[in-house]
Amino acid sequence: MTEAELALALTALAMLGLRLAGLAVAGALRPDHPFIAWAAAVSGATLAAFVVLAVAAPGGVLATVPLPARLAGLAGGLAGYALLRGRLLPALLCGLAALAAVRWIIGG
Amino acid sequence: MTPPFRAGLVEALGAPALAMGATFLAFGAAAAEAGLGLGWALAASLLVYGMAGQVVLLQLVALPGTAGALPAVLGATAANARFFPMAVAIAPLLGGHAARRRRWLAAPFIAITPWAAGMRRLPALPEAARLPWLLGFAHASWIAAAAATGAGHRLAPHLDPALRAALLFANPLYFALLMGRR
Repeated sequence: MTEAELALALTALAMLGLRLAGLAVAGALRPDHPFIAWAAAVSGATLAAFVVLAVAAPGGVLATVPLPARLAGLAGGLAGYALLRGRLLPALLCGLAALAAVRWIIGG
Repeated sequence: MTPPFRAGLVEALGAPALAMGATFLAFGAAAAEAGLGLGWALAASLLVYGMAGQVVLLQLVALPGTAGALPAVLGATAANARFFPMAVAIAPLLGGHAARRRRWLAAPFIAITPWAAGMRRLPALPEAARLPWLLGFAHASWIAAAAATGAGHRLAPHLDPALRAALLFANPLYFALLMGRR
């Protein structure tokens, strides 16, 4: 087994462990327990942070997209969502088209 | 295939599969470029099944001179630590006492896309339909993730960085739209 395979196998086990531990903890609590409400709030916050980081301070190859293009992508998606009565797929495509168009215009 | 399972499956095959698939396509291409095989890329997508952790794992195992597997495992686990609170939060929505034993079936699929869809959809469904709906959604998402990873691995030489960056934006944009939905 190579080091990359070992790292993957151990990470996969750790991921399964986190998921099973979450289900086990919730199973031991009543559904309206404050810990469950707290976990939902933390999960929602991590989702929001994921979006904000991707737009405002991304890493990796997404960082090569200039900020105006990323903002245009978000604005285009939200505008498409509002204009197309909440249809996700066309709104998503509007956002990606806006990102590509602004990137092409500013040449980033 | 029960009607709730099919309903979940069909719902996943629209915007969720596109948004998630775009990100997994970029991941497959990145894995190929790092010299990792298709089997490794597919296993990472299906068994880790959380892009933040997958990216950390890929970056650290591809980095020359990294001392052993442990830093990659710890980094990827920290990046995906959200799976724990996500599992806690969704568990009570997976049906009442009758579904308590079968709720473990959802474990491998607790990831950001099925979780976000489930948290929004499950409360309005009858209790008996909730777990099948989530499993239908999750299986479609899982298969889409694997297919996109495989395609990305194969297409790596043809995906330029600008296209890959746009693909990576699809997933956060999808979640931004989903959060705006009521």
